[in-house]
Amino acid sequence: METSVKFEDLTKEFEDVVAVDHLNLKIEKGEFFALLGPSGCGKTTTLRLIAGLEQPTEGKIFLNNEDVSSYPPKERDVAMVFQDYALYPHMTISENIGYPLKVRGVAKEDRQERIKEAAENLQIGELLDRRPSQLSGGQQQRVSVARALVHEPSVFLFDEPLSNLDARLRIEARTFLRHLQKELGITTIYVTHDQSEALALADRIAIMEAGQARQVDAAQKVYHEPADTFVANFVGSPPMNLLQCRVNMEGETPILETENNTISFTNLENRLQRLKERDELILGIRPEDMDLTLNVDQDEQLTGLVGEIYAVETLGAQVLFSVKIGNSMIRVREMSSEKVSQLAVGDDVSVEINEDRVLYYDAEDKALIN
Amino acid sequence: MRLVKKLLFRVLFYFASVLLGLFFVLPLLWLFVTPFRSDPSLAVRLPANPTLQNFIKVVNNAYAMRAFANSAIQALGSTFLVVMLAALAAYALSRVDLPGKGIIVYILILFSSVVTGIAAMVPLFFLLLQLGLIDTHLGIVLAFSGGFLPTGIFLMKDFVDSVSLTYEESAVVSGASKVQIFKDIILPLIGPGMVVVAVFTFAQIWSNFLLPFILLRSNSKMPVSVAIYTFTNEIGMPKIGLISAYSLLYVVPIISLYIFTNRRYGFKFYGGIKG
Ligand SMILES: Nc1ncnc2c1ncn2[C@@H]1O[C@H](COP(=O)(O)OP(=O)(O)OP(=O)(O)O)[C@@H](O)[C@H]1O
Ligand SMILES: [Mg+2]
Repeated sequence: METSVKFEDLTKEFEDVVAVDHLNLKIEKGEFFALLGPSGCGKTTTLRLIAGLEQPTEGKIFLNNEDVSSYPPKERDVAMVFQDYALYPHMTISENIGYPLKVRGVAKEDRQERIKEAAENLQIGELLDRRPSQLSGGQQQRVSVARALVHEPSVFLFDEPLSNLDARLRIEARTFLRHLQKELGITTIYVTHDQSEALALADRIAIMEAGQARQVDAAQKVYHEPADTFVANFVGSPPMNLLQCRVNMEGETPILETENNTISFTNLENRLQRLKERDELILGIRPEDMDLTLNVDQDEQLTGLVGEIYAVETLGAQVLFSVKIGNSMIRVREMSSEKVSQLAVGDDVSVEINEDRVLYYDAEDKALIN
Repeated sequence: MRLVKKLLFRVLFYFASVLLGLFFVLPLLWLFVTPFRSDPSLAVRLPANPTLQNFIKVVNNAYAMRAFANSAIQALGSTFLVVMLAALAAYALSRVDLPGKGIIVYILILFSSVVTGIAAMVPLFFLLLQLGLIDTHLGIVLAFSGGFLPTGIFLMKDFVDSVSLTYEESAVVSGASKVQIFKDIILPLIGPGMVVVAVFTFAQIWSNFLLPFILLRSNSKMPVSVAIYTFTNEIGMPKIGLISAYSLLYVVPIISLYIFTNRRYGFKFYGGIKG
């Protein structure tokens, strides 16, 4: 029953836009896979291509190594949950859930049983006689999931199924979906533009931009080692700090010059060779991989990054500092503590960087330098 | 002085309004009052001693009753045809991307008034003559359907347009065939629209005089609208009692149709998911 999904040079062009551009991907059996990217990058189009609602301009789609590119939707055996749920307003919940079975000619008693099973699985058993307009957004979302899983499809497709829910429900539904998917083991492709949703749900994530996949990796890897600055900027909240630097060699030690600071890292040996080849690079560092210290002595000549606190935002257990360094802004996340509570807007601070966590990106092609 | 002028104006205004109102209300009053009079005339006068004599005369008139059956056959037949074809055509027009779709719809509307209009009567007559459909119910039904389909399609298209495409796409992915989608999803959702088109078409056909008058010949096939016209005595004077009772019976189906659909559907239609 488990199914893998593969794209080969998958391309979809509308009149003047290339919505999906030579996409090559393989999604493993039973995997929870997320397509993540900004609005208009081609996520929905990719999903519709898999479902058979759109025909590819070029390239192929394989389900379990079988080329299904020319199959009608019916023969692909996939199920899709739409952003607006698309529950049929004139049918009861029970009829809605049972519709995929009905069109497949499943006998009535058999149908009732499977509707009940699916409804119980999603904890909506007591809503079966109502109509969609009588349900809350969260309940409607569950009904649409129940309708998708009732005929045990080989692939689940989700198009931003949580975007119509409020923040609290969204987290609840997220946990539930993750649990359900692991329990059922059905290969799932999940479209979202919310990076935290993708990180929380997916085993692997493809970050898309302009119809192309910029990085396809495990959620952890996408977060800690973004393949290029686009991904670095898109994943994480707040996103990674990116600093434009010049590389100056002082003998054998590279000195990184930012706008008006210099940084010298001690353990650059392993990267030395690659950094040496460049005059410029982009330095990437996550907000949580930095620390702030208050500059008590105004006269002391400081090295490293120094700046002024521009804003302080409290995020529950953590505090987010925006520090103005020259013309650029750096965001630093600190655990709330005694020390942190002494920092205030306008304070001069120096920013210490956890060297092991720094990533280097090429200034030209914006790709990660390993 | 100004006040007087203003007052005078007011009085004149109300007087004119009432006169105008009476002008429209009087025929209606006449229709509801006259059938119950024993001495029916063209004047609106309350029945002195109310009687059902006029109705009994109508019911016993075989020709009058046959006309009702004819009206029903012709109006229901055409309405059925119009509603079914309009639903299918509107669906196609709404969902298929045709170049110049807007123009096609516009031309449809333009033509709608032509077919049942006076200008087309002669060609329509010859067309049916060639087809051997003069003086047949089928001929009338086809002519009416042709006349009202464009409007039906136009009205219907609006209803189909309002049905979100994701319902269909969801059904497609669920494995439904085109026929299943139309039957299970589209038809129920545009049901209210079909009722609107049906009521509109039925009322128009029920009251149409010209088309059956020209396209039919035998008295046994005439609908009510034509039959009323023939209720005169030997010297050509209208039998007012008979006509008024018959007219009242004639409007009953239309009025009850409006009341029924308004009760049943009102202005309530199925909306989308998000209120
Ligand atoms: N039917 C269509 N006709 C023409 N252009 C289309 C069509 N569908 C999508 N596009 C275009 O293709 C591109 C990708 O659209 P798509 O809907 O896949 O984006 P998305 O990543 O799902 O965005 P969002 O997050 O806003 O839903 C967009 O530029 C869009 O305008
Ligand atoms: Mg989308």
